[in-house]
Amino acid sequence: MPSDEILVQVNNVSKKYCKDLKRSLRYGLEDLGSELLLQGEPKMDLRRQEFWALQDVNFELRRGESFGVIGVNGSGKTTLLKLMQGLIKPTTGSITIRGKLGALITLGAGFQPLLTGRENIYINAAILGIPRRIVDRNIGDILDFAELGDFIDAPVKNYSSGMKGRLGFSIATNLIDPDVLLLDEVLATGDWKFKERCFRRMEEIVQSGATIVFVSHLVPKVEQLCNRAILLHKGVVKLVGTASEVCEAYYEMPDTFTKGEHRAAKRRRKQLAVALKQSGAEAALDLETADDGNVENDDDDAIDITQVQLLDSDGQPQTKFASLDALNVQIDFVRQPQVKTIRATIQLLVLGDEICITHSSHMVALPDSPPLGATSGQVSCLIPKLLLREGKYRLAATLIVPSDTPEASPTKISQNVAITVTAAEGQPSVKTTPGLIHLPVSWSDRPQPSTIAMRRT
Amino acid sequence: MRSPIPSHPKSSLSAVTYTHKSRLRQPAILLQDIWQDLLASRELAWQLVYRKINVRYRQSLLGPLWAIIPPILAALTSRVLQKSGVVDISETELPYPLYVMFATVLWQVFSRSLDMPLRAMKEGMSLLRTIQVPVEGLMLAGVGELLFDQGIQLIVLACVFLFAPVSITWGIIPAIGALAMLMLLGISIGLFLVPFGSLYTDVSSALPYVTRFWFFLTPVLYPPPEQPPYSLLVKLNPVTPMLLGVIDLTTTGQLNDPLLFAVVSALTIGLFLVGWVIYRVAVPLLVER
Repeated sequence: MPSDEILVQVNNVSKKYCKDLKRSLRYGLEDLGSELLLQGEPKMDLRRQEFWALQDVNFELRRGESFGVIGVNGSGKTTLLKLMQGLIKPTTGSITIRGKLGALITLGAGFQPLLTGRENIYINAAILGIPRRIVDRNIGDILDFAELGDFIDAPVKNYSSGMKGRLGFSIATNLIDPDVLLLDEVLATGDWKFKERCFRRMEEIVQSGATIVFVSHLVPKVEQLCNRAILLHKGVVKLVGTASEVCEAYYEMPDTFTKGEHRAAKRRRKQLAVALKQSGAEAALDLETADDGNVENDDDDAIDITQVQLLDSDGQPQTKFASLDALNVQIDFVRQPQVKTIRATIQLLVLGDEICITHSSHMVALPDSPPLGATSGQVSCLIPKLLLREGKYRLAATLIVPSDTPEASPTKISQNVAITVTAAEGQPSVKTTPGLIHLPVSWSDRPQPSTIAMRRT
Repeated sequence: MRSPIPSHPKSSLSAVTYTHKSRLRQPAILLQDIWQDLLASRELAWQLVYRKINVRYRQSLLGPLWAIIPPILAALTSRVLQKSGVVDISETELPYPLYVMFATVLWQVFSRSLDMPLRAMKEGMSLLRTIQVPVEGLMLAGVGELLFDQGIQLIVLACVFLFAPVSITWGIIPAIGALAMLMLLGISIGLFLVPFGSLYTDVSSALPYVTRFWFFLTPVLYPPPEQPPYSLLVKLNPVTPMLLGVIDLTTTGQLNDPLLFAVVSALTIGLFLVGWVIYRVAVPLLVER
């Protein structure tokens, strides 16, 4: 539980960097000069080629709080961590850390490839500032968690990256006992089993009462582990608030998730859609020649999605739906005559994290078509009740043409559409709790009859 | 940049604050930090030395023999040169080959001390960029490695002296102090090279040439010249009194020029302290570039 003892204070912290190496080196000398000449006032104007990597960051963390830091790459997360560790100096502002600071940011710092895993444990521990006797006391736990077996006495250069990561994570988490812990999610490396254990260990540390600063791209993890969070974008603080609030805002940010679709593919789809609206097969035939002579793989041409539409209960295209609304996904496609059956799937995914929430699949037998040229078709999927909670999601519609022979791989084409889900009626409009699925439950504060009694009624 | 602030009334924890202000504004706290980090970094330094030396000989057949090959080669070369009459060498207190061997080892102590701070900084940079480690640990590890390497050479030298027809005096004990001064002189100058040298590679490119030139200005392969202008040139070289001091103390038990030795020693200590503070203040600025 957070107490009122403030362990971390970040006040008006800004940091500027230089993009150009030569200039950066020169500025480095200038800065050193002014440091030695005791010129204390920060220079707020940017010199040539400089930019603000972090601007005016403010927050306070109490004991026991866990604080998420989210933002896309280049938003200033790493800079913030470096400043908090005291590796670099802020351009303005101040950072105060009370108590022992631990950082789980890079694993296996100073691993020497020629030495054995066991020897490296002691070196890595010394770099983390841990005395030898504590390592000796905990060596059993370290070895158990790393699960390296006999390999612990082999040189580290023979380790796979997963093994190195495991050893590094094991050393760090078994030895440090900080008041403030900086944690980077990329640490959870290796196979899913070890990843799961890493996250469990992280949760243990969070629950141990240390103040945690958790940097992550995995927004659901932040929602789960943190009570508050900060959203950074291009060095600017977009929001500081509860974890759920900040995670929502992360998805709301413009241009964060527009995936660069292949330009040629996009143009082709556009042409197809226009042509099909004019008149089915005839126009599609023209398209074959209109393709700038860019002959693509035959399989790619066998089927193509022209449009994916999200329709509401009135059959109107929408991008916004409320929880428990009906949603009809309509997939328009063109196919070559050799395509007789297709499998259509739709998936709902969390933006960026690629966590699949639902998956639905259906085999479709297509009617015979004229032997020449492309024909258009349509499949649709009705979701009677959208069980998603409020937030932004990605709907991926995929069409798969099974291959004729077992050796050949099936043809696959998919298209994404963004979908925004708003809170169901009667629910608070701002998300305050984590979770992705809306279960239509009913709550009661009176004693309930037993399940047997319920069954009888 | 780091300074203790009054603790939260309910908190017994120590606190550090990082600000944009120059750390030199609070010199007492800075010195205290340096001292504490120095104490705290002994374990780290030990492990780093272990790592370095262990790795160096793990992939080598001759192993630590590599430490004694250079002084023996230098002594042999000088012997050949003297015999052939290519160079005209006047008599020295010690037999000439022994003098060269001794002076070579001492010169190496100096030149490696000079090189050490910048090298340690460069090797430690990737660590300093990712994790908070006391920079003193890197320096201590550098000193440790140096002591190991030069220690082996000095032991070899001691063995040679035992079997050679020379007398060793009790001056060998103060000679160890003079040797430490020689090392300190190198490290002090080396510390001043760190800020510029970590940013620009020019320093490490130029250093071998400067060192070689310096080598010839120091009486290593020849005894100190008597006539000006060469005698003056060699005398102005701060390495000369230190290097000769060690040799004189070992062989005759006293310093030839105690005043000069004292002056250079005092300057060295002053230079070292200033160099260390600058180095310490510079590290976070160098890490970010």
